[in-house]
Amino acid sequence: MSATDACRTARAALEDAFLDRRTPGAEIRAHLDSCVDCREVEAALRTLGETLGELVAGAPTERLIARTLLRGRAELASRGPALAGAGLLGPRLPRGFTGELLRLLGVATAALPLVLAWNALVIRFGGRLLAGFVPEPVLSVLAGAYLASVAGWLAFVYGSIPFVAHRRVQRSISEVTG
Amino acid sequence: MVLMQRGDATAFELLLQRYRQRLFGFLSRRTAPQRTEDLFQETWLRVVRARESFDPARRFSTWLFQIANNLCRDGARRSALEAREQAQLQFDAAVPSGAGVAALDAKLDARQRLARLPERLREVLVLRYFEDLGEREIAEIVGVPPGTVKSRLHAAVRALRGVPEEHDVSH
Repeated sequence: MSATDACRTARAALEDAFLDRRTPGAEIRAHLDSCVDCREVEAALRTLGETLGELVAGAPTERLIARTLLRGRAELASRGPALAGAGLLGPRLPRGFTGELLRLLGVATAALPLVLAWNALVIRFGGRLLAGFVPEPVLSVLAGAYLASVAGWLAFVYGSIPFVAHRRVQRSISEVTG
Repeated sequence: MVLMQRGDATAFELLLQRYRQRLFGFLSRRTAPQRTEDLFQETWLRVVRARESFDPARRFSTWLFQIANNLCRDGARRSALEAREQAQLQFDAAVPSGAGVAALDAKLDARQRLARLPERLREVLVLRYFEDLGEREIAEIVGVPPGTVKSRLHAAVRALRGVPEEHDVSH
């Protein structure tokens, strides 16, 4: 290890020791004995520690605590319990979840007739289009497979609505925390 | 915290009493003294408002410091221009030139030295040196990887010493 590498290692260790507020290990001490520059760094860090030590943390006044309590209680009272009180899923659900869930379900339900009508059209016209080329039993299997995939897709979309609602509510809450 | 999530005011009071000193200490070292009280109150109000989003699997103190730190950042961003102008005025008035700069550096007290650090270095240094938090917890609070926290901590120490990174080992 070159002198520069040794110094770099020693200084990183000195900074770690400074941040942890402990004395450096024996290996670093041995390097310090032979390196004037690193001893200067150590001295500078010691001085810095003394300077930072002068920065005493303030204490909150009782008046500030009382004011904070008052505002916090008022906020709690105005917003009511954050969590639903009962039910299997209740205690974990954030406030606003039910409203968001109903809103999304409303949108999805409104879109359902359109989705069903579109797929009925696909089956009807697709069946007619393929009737000349594909045998009847194969056509039935294809139609069945198509219906199954549509049903699976709908189950996925409707099944994910509660999770989407939960996510949207959580996101709006986390915006408050920054 | 779970009790407070259910709207229990007594639980809120208990949390406030338990963390009052730590939070106030953090804020007083992190920001200007005149902003500490406002930020203290605002942090607790945000705790109440955002209590639904608290994950009981996490440490409450980490979440609390995260909220407080975000508020400090917001405030710092808002007043950045104002502070820069003010600092420039003070600098112009107080700093002569050349060797005078080093002399002034030596005279700076802890608060002034911290205030001169860039925001991203100050936040990790205060959390590590004064709050004694580990790199992982700091990473969670400030939203960067633990490795970044470590490099920022070393950069903060060097900046406090007034040593540019590239000139640290010069022989």
